[in-house]
Amino acid sequence: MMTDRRTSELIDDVAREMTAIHTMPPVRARVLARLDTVRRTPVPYFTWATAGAALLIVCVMVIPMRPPSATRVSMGPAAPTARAADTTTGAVSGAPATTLAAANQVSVLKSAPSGANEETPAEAEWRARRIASLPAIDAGAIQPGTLDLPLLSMAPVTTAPIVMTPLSSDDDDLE
Amino acid sequence: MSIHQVTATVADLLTIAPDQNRAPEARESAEVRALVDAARAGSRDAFGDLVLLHERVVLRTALAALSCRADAEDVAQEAFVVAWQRLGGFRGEASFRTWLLTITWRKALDRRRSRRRWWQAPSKPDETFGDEISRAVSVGPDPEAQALARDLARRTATAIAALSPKLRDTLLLAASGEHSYESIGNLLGIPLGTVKWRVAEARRLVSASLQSNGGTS
Repeated sequence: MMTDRRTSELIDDVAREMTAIHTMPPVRARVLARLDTVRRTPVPYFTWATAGAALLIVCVMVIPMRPPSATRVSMGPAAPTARAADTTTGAVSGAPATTLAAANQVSVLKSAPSGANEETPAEAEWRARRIASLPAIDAGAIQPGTLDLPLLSMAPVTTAPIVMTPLSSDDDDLE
Repeated sequence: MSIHQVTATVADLLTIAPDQNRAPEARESAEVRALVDAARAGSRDAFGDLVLLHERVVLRTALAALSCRADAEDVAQEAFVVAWQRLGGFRGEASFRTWLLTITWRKALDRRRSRRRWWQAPSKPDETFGDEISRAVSVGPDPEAQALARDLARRTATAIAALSPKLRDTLLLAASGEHSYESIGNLLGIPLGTVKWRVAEARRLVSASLQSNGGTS
């Protein structure tokens, strides 16, 4: 019988022989020949993938946050009524006076001059007059109506007595 | 001739002399680092030298996973080509050898999976294994001893091939002499203790197989 040590040595030797390379194939020549056909990637793929994903996230987050472009066709005093129906305010011409005034206030504030689009003196004058003409909102005048809820009427629950008939005991069946 | 003489003949004849190409894996030489830098800068000659330095260990590593020389050669070439392509991303955190062998091992496992998928059969060892073992054994003068040794070597190779992939991979990588247990652990993604256990378990199972299939006497 082989000793454990000899068996172990035999296993190691055979295992080593199973991965032995007796004649080296021309790996270098084949690899260098293949290098001509492949394109080298100077930056790993994941770098580009990460950068692309980050750019996409920024675009997705920033684009919806941009304010709608203000198409200020005419801001002058000549067309003040057009501003009452400014789409950015959501106000309509038939709205109540208080709502319309508040909407107009928002509209005027929203159309404040930006650095890229300077306000002309005529626009400024018109805006000042519009602000001055807005009625003041009196919070105390708001009187909510009383809440009228109909009382719930519930019928009492009626329970019918359960009638149980006694079982007949047939001793004959048991036999 | 006793069985001890036969097995001694097998073991002695199959024992490969200390591998001169056994590269130290722990520390990378300045020469390799310079070659890596040059190859990263685009020098194909430098990369060719890196291929020459590492082709043996890459082939043996692929062979441990695939047990087929043709597949191992293909995988080795693929691994080197991929290494060339990704050399720009090699940061030097691990040694070039470790990085290259990781690529090789993944490629080899991919090949093994695809081969299994297509053939629907476990990979079988290359028939040439037995032949080479037999050639190595058949140097002795006694024909009877030669026959016994060949048979024992073949049965051992068959028993190793019948191991589970985890045990077989670990045993073959360890026996190849190209890797320390620690580097095997890094390659397979398992702790050092698991590597040692797998090697011991693989030896135990092969030994038991030899005992049950005709014995080692």
